Amino acid sequence: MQTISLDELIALDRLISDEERLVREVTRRLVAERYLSRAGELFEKAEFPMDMIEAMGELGLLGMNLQGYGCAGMSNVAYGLAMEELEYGDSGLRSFASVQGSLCMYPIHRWGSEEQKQKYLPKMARGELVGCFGLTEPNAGSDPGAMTTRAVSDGDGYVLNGNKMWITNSPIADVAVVWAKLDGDEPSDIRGFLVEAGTKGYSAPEQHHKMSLRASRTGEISLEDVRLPKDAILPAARGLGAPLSCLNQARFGIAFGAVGAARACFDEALQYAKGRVTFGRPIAAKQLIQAQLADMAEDIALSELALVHYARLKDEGKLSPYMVSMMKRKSVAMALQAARRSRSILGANGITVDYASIRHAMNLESVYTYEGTHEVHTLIVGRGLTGENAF
Amino acid sequence: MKILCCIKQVPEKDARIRVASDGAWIVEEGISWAISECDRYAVEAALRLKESIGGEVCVLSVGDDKASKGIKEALAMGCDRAIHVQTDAVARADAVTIAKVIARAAKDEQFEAVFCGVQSDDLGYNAVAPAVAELLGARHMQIVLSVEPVGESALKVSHELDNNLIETAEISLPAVLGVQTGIYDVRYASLKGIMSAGSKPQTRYSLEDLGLSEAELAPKVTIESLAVPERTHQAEMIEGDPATMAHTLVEKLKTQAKVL
Repeated sequence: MQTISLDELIALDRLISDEERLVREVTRRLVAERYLSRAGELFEKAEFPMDMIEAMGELGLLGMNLQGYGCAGMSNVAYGLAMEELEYGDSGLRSFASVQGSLCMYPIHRWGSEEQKQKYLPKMARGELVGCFGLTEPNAGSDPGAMTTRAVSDGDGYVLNGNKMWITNSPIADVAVVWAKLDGDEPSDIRGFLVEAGTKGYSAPEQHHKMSLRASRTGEISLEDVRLPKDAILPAARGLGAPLSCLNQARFGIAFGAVGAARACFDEALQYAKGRVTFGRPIAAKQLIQAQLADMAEDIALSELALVHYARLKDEGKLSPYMVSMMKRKSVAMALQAARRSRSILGANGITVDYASIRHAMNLESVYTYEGTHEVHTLIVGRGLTGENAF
Repeated sequence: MKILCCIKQVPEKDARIRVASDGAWIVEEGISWAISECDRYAVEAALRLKESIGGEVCVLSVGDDKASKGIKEALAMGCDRAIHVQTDAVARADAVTIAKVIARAAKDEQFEAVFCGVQSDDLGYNAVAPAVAELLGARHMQIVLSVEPVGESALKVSHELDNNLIETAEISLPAVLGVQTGIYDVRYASLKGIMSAGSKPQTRYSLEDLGLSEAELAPKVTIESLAVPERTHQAEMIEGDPATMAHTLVEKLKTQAKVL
């Protein structure tokens, strides 16, 4: 029987350049050779593979869509495809790259001083320095303007106090981009500060007992009278729009990443369905299974094709935040549904980490919520369509 | 050292191969292509030699647009320049014909070391490297496991022989080496390498440029037909002690399979 693969259904190669295709292939090979065989074990043990930082740095995946300062300067299509391949391995792996590149390197690259760029970006691109992004607080998630972390001008520097929570990479970070209100209480007072690990009063205790993103380090950031020099502030980042702009960068990569997770689940479900026999026939020959596989393939194909279109718009500087919200919202919801479908097709086997689907399903619960919850993105798109603010 | 590395694009390992309507080739439409696995190791071996002794690595491929994609990846991995013999006329060519094209494209360059994969993932003739060596008048070793420079004029090479024997010997230059898989961790093309690959020099030849006549390109081997192996369920477990099992197996090979 003649068959057609998911890649053939999507026929993406017609839409991407040789360079973008090579980035996808190299990242795919990295994940296949260095990550997939231990993905379940890392998740079970709640370990992040530190060796992958160096590997991703050597390839140039960290901050890969930034120009100069040791960054590869690739297109946003290439960036998206790389994030997709990383998340085919695990959302934790992609989360590391998203945080490093889009949430930490990006603000330094966009708003940092020349000295800050020279000091941090080349080492972060190589994976020699790890960054994190401190915005969310225990009582300020979807409403970051309500943050209570404060910076106060003090002589020739600043003093920071406050707490950040759910910070990917904070326990292993060398430098944190911390957002705080400077000498005021308004969202417009929000500024970004570069806080290096080891600074007196700074700590980043790990958050344990996660059932999702287990192969990713998540922590708090505690700031107790942290004294920073004048040159620790990102000079050109002013107001809430700055951190939100970082989130838009990350959300873009997340949308692609979720497709990678969905693809991993689809591949697993298809392979399993072909081999699993019930009532004398492979379950792949059952209509109920085929309907689920067809739905998954269709969802993945259409998501991927749409994302490449939006990535091209981003390369042209024409991607609006509404589009990014729609991308993230739709893609992650699609992936979560695909993971649940695949888990179901796998039957009882699907609840073990010997298979990837339950791991992806659990990871995607976090992805559904972080970087703007599904609901927040609904409201952003809704506000755009109606002109009414429903927050 | 002036080093040449020959690569071939083949269908990716998980490609869904379908036999074309003429029964003698595959449907190429819709397949993803990649550098043949052995050739990937050949690129790595060539780059490592250059890194240890200096010089340059030129990558060479024969074929249509698919070949240019392989060339770009090899350049992204670190090769310095490329020779692309642009033709879609040799996809089904036998090893000697391909070797003639390679040798003609390389003959004026005076390469000192030529690396090939020991065989390609698709046709697997295992013969291009020795044929290139013959045509270039170079020495040759096949199934190469390691390569070290010995001064400027020789290489110390380990390679597999029959019966699991491994020979280590010096080979004087020029030499053509057929590289085995699995001998190194093959490097990934870095993103910076991918970005810079497009600006590296490429020399493009047509078959006419190389002055190869139709007679020279006439195949020595033609593919009559291709078939996907039929799945059968005829496995039979042979029981008994080793001597009995061996005796039974030989009898079956003689009387049932009729291959002995």
